[in-house]
Amino acid sequence: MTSELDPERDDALADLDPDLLARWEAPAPAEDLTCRIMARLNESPAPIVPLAAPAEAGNRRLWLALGAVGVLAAASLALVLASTWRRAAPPPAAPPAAAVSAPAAVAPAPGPGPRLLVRTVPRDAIVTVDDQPVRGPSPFVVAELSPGSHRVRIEREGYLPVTRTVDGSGGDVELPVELGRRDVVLALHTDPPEAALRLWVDDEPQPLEPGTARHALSRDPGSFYELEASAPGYQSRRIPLPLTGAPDQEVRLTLVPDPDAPPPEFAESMVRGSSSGRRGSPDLKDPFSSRRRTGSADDSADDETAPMSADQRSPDFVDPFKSREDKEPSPPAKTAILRLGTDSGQGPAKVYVDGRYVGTTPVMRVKVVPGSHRIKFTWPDGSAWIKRVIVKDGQSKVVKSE
Amino acid sequence: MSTIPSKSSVSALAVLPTPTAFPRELDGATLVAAQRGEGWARRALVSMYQRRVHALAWRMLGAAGRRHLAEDLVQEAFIRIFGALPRFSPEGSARLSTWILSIAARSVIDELRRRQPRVAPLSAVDELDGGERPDLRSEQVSVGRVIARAVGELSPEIRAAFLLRAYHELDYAEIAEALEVSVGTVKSRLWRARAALKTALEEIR
Repeated sequence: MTSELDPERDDALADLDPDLLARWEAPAPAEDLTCRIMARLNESPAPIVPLAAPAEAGNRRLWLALGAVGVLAAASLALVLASTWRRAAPPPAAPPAAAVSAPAAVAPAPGPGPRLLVRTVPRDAIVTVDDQPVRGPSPFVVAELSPGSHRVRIEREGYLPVTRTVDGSGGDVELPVELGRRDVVLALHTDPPEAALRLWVDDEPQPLEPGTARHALSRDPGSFYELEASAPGYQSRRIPLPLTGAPDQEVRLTLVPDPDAPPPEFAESMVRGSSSGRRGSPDLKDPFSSRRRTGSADDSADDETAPMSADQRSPDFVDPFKSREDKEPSPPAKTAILRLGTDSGQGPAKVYVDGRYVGTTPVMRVKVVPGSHRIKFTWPDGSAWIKRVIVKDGQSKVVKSE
Repeated sequence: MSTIPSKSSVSALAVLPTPTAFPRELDGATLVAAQRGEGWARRALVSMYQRRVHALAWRMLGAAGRRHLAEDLVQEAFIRIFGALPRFSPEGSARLSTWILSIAARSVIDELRRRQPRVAPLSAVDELDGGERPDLRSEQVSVGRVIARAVGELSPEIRAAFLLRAYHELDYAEIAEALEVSVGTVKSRLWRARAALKTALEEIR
């Protein structure tokens, strides 16, 4: 087979489409595989911190206090037992050769019930399960879960808290969480440098001090941040703010010249002149004035590429650029927007919309046609999260992996 | 530096993307504890790496990639891994993940050679698409099947080299060390895998 690649120099797999290869996905292993491996290794279960059952609402404080005392006592007991076991246990040794060559039947995992293993970054976070503090050898917090769903909350001063719901019915649960910094210093750069900047927080504009490149932002849990830049002669641009969780971040935003913009002299005369400007806008000086209204989740109106709908046109409108040969219908316009991101504590994920790779998180904004769409997040370890969403014409919808 | 006012009234969930890669390696203290044989640390090691080992084993099975076979191979691999773990040095050239995948790859190659599993006919393959639901597009399923079949027709050694490169992002030197062959041999194996994959993927274009 001939090839245009040089075997001595090039990556042998460079011309294999990675997206195509990614379609051969390995399934997740069975949830009890860890237990089965540990059973094969003749491991005792990890130290367990029992959790009391959720308290009744009426006696919540009393039960919480008793539960905390119980957890402390149980933790102490578990530590004593664990240290005793460690002293009594034989030193780790290589497994017998027979175990390698002759696989035995897998024994069911020992232990009283499913366990929760929480890995946190940073390590010294506070973890609560159903509002009860859980202690353990950080970053590993091992707890015995009662059947049903549990609310796990991870907090640390200076970081945004993360809340997850886990279900112990299916066996052991592993929960990796990386907390993001609450306070971020943003270094914002634009091209052209004179572009005006505006921060949008959940579709509400927040002022940015003009002429300042660095801005301190104290993030709110749950807010969606976007950055908008605009300059005369350029197409305005609004992008999701890719907050990484790092304390300092640099964001660069490059604007594209607007081919429809009037020459600079003409634009200047419009600004100086009356309010009967190009679009009849009374506030043409404001670079954002022609963009959108605020306070709505529906943000399709700011989409500069959105075509004019038929009902906006005059009944006798004739498109001078449409030839007679243009009989076939144009593809449906992408008038809806999906804002895609991973939930906090999760790593970057590859995102596919209707089977098409659209990018890797952090948060991204994808224009789609109205209708039903299948969104899939995949992580490097092979795990995936799939959701089908329906988005209407002009609607903007946030979809985050869970 | 200006300060952006906080907007505390927002009730929606936070969007906190974390482009910094989530820890992909066991931290040093846990590794040492695992090497000492402490149960919690060994469990943490298994939890952290079992998906990658499982993905490698499952794909190594190619078109015969049945879940129970892959999990058997994963267990065998981890028994070997823990047998050799006290000898692993974090100061060495290999990352822990690379070292684990190396042992897993060799373990799976040995098991494949010992068991010589029959390759399932294409029509009988039921888990080639990553356990996806039946509503997956048929195109995705067929691509997975084509790749699986092509990989399944490679020798275990070529399969291992290909998978470590394409799905686990090991470089040539790491693959050479993992499979105990020269870098030239790795290149040769990868070019043979590439040729097979190119031919197979032509079918779906």
